[in-house]
Amino acid sequence: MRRFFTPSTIVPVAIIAAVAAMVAVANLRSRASRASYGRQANWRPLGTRGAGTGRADLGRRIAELRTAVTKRPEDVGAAVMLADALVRQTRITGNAGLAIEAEGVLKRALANDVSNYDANRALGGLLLSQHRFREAVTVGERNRDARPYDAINYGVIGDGYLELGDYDKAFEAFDTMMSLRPSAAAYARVAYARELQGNLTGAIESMKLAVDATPPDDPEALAWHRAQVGDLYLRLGRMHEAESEYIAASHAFPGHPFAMVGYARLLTARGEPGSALALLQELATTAPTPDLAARIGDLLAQLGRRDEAERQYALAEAGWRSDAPEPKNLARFLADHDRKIPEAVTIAVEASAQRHDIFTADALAWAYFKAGRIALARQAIAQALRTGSTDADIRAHARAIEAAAGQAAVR
Amino acid sequence: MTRAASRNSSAPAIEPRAFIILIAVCVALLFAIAANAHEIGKTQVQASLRDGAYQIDVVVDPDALLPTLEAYAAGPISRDLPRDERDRRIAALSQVFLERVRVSFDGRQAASVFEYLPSSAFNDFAQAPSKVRLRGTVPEGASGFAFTYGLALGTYALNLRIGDGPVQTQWVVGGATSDPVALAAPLPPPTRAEIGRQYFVLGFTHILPHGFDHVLFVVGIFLLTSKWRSIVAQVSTFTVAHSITLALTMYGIVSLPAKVVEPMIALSIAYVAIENLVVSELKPWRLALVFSFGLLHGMGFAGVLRDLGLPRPAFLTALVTFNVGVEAGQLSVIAIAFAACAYWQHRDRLAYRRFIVVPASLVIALTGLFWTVQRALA
Repeated sequence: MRRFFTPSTIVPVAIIAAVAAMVAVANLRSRASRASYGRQANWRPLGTRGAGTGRADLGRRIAELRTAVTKRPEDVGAAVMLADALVRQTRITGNAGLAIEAEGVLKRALANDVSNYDANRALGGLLLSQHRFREAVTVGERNRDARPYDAINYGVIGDGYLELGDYDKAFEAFDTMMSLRPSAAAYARVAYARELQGNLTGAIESMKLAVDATPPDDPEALAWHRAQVGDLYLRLGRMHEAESEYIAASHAFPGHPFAMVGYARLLTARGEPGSALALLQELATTAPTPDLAARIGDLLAQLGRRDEAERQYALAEAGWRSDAPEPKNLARFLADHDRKIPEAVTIAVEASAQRHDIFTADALAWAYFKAGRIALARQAIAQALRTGSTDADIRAHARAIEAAAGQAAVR
Repeated sequence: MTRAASRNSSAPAIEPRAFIILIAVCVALLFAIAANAHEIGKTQVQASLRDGAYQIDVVVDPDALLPTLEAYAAGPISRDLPRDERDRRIAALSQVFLERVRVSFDGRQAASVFEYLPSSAFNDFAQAPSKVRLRGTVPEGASGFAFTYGLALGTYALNLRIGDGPVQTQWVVGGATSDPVALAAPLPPPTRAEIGRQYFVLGFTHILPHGFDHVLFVVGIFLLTSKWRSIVAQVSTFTVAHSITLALTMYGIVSLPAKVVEPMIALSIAYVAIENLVVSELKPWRLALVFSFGLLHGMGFAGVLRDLGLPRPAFLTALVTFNVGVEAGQLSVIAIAFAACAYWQHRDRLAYRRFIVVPASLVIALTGLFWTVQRALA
């Protein structure tokens, strides 16, 4: 025994024991050890368990992620999560600046890792949200070339083409997306494609599948999908179903602007403009937009409160000119309310040069119509009708333009 | 109107980082599309707080400001006025402006002095924005500032500078009150020396105590021979190699996925340990191999550094001091190993090899092989 405890045995045994202990500790802490080459993310994605999308959850999440990203601007994982949360917040509050903040966060992360796929993919979505459709398509196609089996890229490409009015390419991208991976995102896009083609029943079916595919931990998404289903029912005149969907949306996410605006439209259609007005005025205190001011103006006009309506129209026009520039909407608003028609035509022509979607074409047609330029209005409305959409405004405009064209022919 | 929807999946309770990011990217993307986004408008707010006073410049489109003020004043809406008349009426509606635009400290509204600076004061362009300047005094002992601009139907940027601190930007929706901003000027950015110290420590601690794999590699190098010259040659070769790839990777010139780098690092550990079992002298190929292994380890260090983040203004400082920290950590490992083995290295080289080098190398080799498999399968 004494021979065993000599320095020549103690030292190697101690070293071996030390190495063995290190190995044991290393493997017990294998996650921490591997973190050397990829820090473990502590952030769950929004809409999963423990990371809900309720109003308070989102605010808290954004504050935490801002702190994390400030400390480590190159942490792509945190940057992507922050971008996600900011975009959600944009939808609820209408604060477009948050999308700009999200873009800045992603671009800082990309500065040190230009080819990072996750950040580039998130950037594609952000560009869409900022109406930079051509850039979004470019980024989406680059990402698709990098990973051709990632369904999301086809969603970005399709959305970009859709907004630019290239519907064939958009629908083709959505088909590919659906074939690669059916999901809530894919179902919702199919629903919109069907709606654009006038198939409202089919659109409702798809949008309901999107609702079913949305997890309960994502109340914000659930509310959005429900509100979309409500809008589709409303267009079909199925008031009761539409009301159920709006109520379900508000239950999932109280005060969701899409549900509130939809419900106000339903109340108006039902002959309750006073209730609709109260609802929109409440929404305008937290998320004012020109569109909301215009809707409030229309309701006030319907209630015979002309002066108040004019003031809301003034706010809407000023808002679209200054605070939330949206040329297509401004042109349409001016034409709808017989204000500054020559300017409405100019604005709509400029908007049409940039985008070829059916709603921009409709705004142009309506501005031409109000300007008395019926031949040009017919050309434009033909573009607006090219997908077969049953949008009530487009159809009404088409009827008015055709009637005017008929009278002109008779004269 | 743009539309899309969410993509959701039932994520497992503990996900690998890549999966989490993937899910988040999907969700972010899809909601970005659905965000019903608005364009950013022309209104901007530049606020400056200094020496107990504040000055806030609201940059606005005067053609939009006048009808907005008139709408909130519940009066008739003017149309197509000459610029002078438009500006005169805006100035006359200062009270409406002050009712809708609030400057507050600790939740209490401050009394501001209104001054309208029409665009003609700056230039002759018809579309030039005007400014409304609000001035006032910061209350004694105030600790928080907030701003409300109730005249915008969209989003505007609030740029705030406190004293000589950096500009802080918030995106605020019209009518909403900004997040409160602490009046204490933000901490100045760290100096180069502080950054250097911080990254030196990060580099050192990446080896000791966090870098078990690097420690085993360095111990493997140490165990080959007891000749100082050989140890120094290997360590220097390793240092030069990993410095090269660390810099190249951080500057985005070379890149290898962690999936490849990690198992290769583990394999390099196994290799040097196995070679210790069959040779006892420094051979030329050993230096070549250590160099190539060093290239791999450098990419591993870069992965850490990228995750930690490099401060843009002091990128090179952080890069160099992190590398120096790594070197210091490695030299510390050598020093500890030397202190533990020096007696036997010089007293009985045969016993040293038989009882220290061989068993320790064996354990290191097995560990390296285990990690190789584990990382390859991860």
